[in-house]
Amino acid sequence: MSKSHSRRTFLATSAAATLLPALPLTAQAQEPVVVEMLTKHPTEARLRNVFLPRVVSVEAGQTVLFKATDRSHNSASIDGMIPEGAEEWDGRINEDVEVTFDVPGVYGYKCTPHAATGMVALIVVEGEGKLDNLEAAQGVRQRGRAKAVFEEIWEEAAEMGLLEPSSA
Amino acid sequence: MLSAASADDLSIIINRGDTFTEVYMSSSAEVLFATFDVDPSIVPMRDNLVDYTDFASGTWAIGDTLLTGAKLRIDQQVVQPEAMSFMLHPSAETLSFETPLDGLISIGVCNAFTSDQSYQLSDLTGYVGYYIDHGSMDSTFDLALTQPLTRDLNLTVFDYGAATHTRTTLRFSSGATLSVALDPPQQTTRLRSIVPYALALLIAAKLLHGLFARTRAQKHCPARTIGLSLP
Repeated sequence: MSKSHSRRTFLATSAAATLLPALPLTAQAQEPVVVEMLTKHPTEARLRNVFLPRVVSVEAGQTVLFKATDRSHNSASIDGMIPEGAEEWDGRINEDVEVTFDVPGVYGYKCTPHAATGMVALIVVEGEGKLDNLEAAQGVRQRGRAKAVFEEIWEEAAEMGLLEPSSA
Repeated sequence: MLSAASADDLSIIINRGDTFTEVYMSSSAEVLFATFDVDPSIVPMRDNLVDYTDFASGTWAIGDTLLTGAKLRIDQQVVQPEAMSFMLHPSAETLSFETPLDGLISIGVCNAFTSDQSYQLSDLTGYVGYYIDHGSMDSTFDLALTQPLTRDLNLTVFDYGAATHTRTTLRFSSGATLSVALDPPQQTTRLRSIVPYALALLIAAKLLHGLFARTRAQKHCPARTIGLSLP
């Protein structure tokens, strides 16, 4: 079955876009990191409506492709959970969406219709000041299951060493 | 007395976690709104058909509204449930609704908003899920509506606690006020049901042991030692 693949590219910040040529070529040329939007986790049946992987680390300037593997999902930034200067994004349901992350920081995002059932996830963009919005992001009030899922996500990110100050 | 079939049916699934409680409910859409005394016009409609396109932005507001006339206590403390999602599925396509996973699946807004199919509310079954940031496996649970029922209601409650669950059926007559007060499902409930089987197994084992003992004795002793009168 063919899927709609209209892709939209968002620049996470217009200010940072001007810095793009200064980014290392490796970062610009890198393939997008793929995050799948799934109705059912491929191995854990009790997990429904998930982003996979749900914690991702990328370099500043790198692009993430949110892939509409299953229908009825989208990817949208959560208010208050992106760094200052970064642009929000709001992908369409059932469509892939590409987002380029130029501002270091933590980015919480959701599937709009499934956020309260726990379909939320995190992207950490490496670079100087990446933890500047951590406290604010962690302080955002979550609805329903999203609260418990974000607690797991913060723990997972910490275990991955993503919540340590960037060495760059 | 009315037969069970003439009453409306409402199912509730309670999922008890270590620090939270989830509640899922299901009933025909009309019964759901009537039971909770909420005007069904809060469901987005167009030309008398449910407009699923609006569901894409989330449906928890409908769920929150449904419970405005209900009071939920966990461990005697009034708590505020947060709706996770509300969904309407065609009644003709019955979904399994007995476990917390069934509940979670049923409330997931699915492809409906991109489907060509259109439905009237009367053709649909409503599913709604709530998350309460309170409770434990050992909590008491008490849900009560403030307004009386306008029709008879059969209520089935599936209550999932630590490693066990219970199923309770309650019947409310028109004019009664719906109230569900539950103690946590106890492990002893399961143990109690195991006891007769364990006893039967013990007796069977004893009998078999005796039989083998006799068989062994038969090999070494005359038949009369086991009471048989052989020629």
